Amino acid sequence: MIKKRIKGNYNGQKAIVIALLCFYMALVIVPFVILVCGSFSSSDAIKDVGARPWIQGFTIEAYQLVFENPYQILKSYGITILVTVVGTVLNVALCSMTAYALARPNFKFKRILSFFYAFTIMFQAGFIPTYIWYRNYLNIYNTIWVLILSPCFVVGHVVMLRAFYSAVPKSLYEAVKIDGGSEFRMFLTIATPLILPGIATVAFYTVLIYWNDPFTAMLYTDDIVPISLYLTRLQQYIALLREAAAGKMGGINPGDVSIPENTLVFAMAMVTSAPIMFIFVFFQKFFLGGLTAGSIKE
Amino acid sequence: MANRKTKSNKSYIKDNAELSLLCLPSFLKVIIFSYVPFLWLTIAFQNFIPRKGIFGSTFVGFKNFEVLFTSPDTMTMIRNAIAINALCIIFSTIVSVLLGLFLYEITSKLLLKFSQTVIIFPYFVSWPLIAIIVSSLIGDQTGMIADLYSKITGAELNAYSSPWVWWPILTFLYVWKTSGLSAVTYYAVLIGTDKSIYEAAKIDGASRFRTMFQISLPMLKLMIILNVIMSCANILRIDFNMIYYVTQDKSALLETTNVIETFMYRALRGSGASYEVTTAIGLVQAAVGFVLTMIVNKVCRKIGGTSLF
Repeated sequence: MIKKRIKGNYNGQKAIVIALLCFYMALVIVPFVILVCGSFSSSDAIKDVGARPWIQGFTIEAYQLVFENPYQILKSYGITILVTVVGTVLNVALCSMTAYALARPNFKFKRILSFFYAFTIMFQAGFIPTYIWYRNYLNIYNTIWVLILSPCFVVGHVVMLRAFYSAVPKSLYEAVKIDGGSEFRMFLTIATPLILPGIATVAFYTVLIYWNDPFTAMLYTDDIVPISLYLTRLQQYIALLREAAAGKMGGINPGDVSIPENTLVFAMAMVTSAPIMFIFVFFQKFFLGGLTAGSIKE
Repeated sequence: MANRKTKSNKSYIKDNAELSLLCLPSFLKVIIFSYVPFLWLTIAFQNFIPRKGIFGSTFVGFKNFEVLFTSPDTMTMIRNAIAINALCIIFSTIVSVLLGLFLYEITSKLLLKFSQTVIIFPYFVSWPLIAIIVSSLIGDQTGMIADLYSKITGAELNAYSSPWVWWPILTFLYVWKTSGLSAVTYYAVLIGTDKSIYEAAKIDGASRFRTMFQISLPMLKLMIILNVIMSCANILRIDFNMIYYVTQDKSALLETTNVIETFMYRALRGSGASYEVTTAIGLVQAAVGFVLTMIVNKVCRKIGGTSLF
């Protein structure tokens, strides 16, 4: 009798836990449903009723407008893809090389170099010194290089990979040493293939950093517009258009503006983030694996 | 014996040369992109004339810092940064720990995988995109949240002209974006722990909540403490993207959303303070960050045996 009551209590509490988790998941999902549905809704319905998590008057006019003049979008997409691919390869290479060296107990400069890298997270020069240096002396202002190099080499990723490399069994190192293998060979053919889940996790984080970075372009370029900045510019432009329609242009009814202004930003947001969502769906399993493996080893 | 020693010495030098070579590219990158800009921090002590550069401009001592610390803006910025960071740390810790504990209680494989995938998803979404969703929810009276608010309270929610609603909004968004991912890392710690203690507790008749809070939670204690302490090192730093895009850089909201990063950005765009004063506040921010990180590192090494470097 008592045992049964405890059992019932036990399952009842489990139901509460599941209910709370589902509530949180709903909080996560609903905003994206609003975004997706908004992008397929008619602009007038959104204007009258507001964005809701269901489609109001199905239409693809917003997407048509996004792709009506695809030149700028394709250009921005090209810039973002180039920057993301080159940047990710570079960041993963630099971080894994550094992390491997810092994980080796026989490396003489281990401590001093660790401090050298960690110092850059603690103490940063700020926007203005960096801006003057990039623009007036390094001459990478308004080039594709600033977008690739400025966010490159994330010290946090080095810390993460170092934990992975440290977990590689010592005996493997010794075996390679006895065979007369060099540190390079050890790094390339033994240690790195063993920690591929960690490399994949870092690569995934890096793709994200580059893809979702309007900030570097906003600060250090004039006319190189990656897709994330393009989205922000479009949003600002539409906000201006609305203000103009509502106030300063007096007699004009906002409804007269011929573009689907209420849904265009939604459609554009979908177009800019579709690749990230795609990558996420395909790699989340791999990513979750690397994430949990890394934290256990730490 | 002597021969063996020289041989191992030789291989020690060769290994170290190779390892140094592996570090060389990142070393150069960090020197060029992070260390050289420190030179221009001298602007903070100068009457800076861009045409003459730092070597031609005259030094004025601590005058820029005096301007800085007599300006009411400075205190507002520091207050905002500390308030927003403190709220974010407190609430994201609570939510992510709870979610981690909840995940551990899920036994269905399918639900577990699905819920992990869902809750980490917002982490992969950019702030500009979140800003778009937020403005569609509270931007005007038809927005879902604004509508709900006016139905409940009877008053209109004009979020983009009322500064004091933004601390809660930003906190909510930060928690919403990041706590799923930290929850998964807490969960990862829990699945690595010894299962027998849970079985013992179950046999003793402990309820599920009791095992959650008296067995699982203490196992996470150290990690929670370390995470909180580490975030405290960044108390003056805020993600520029979060503030700038979500508040849409509205000047009506500056009372609660003006932080050092956005202040620097406005100065750079020529619509804010002078370069000298801005560099000075940047230097203060960096110095505070440095001191706090050194302290945090010491504390973490003492209580947890881990450290940043």
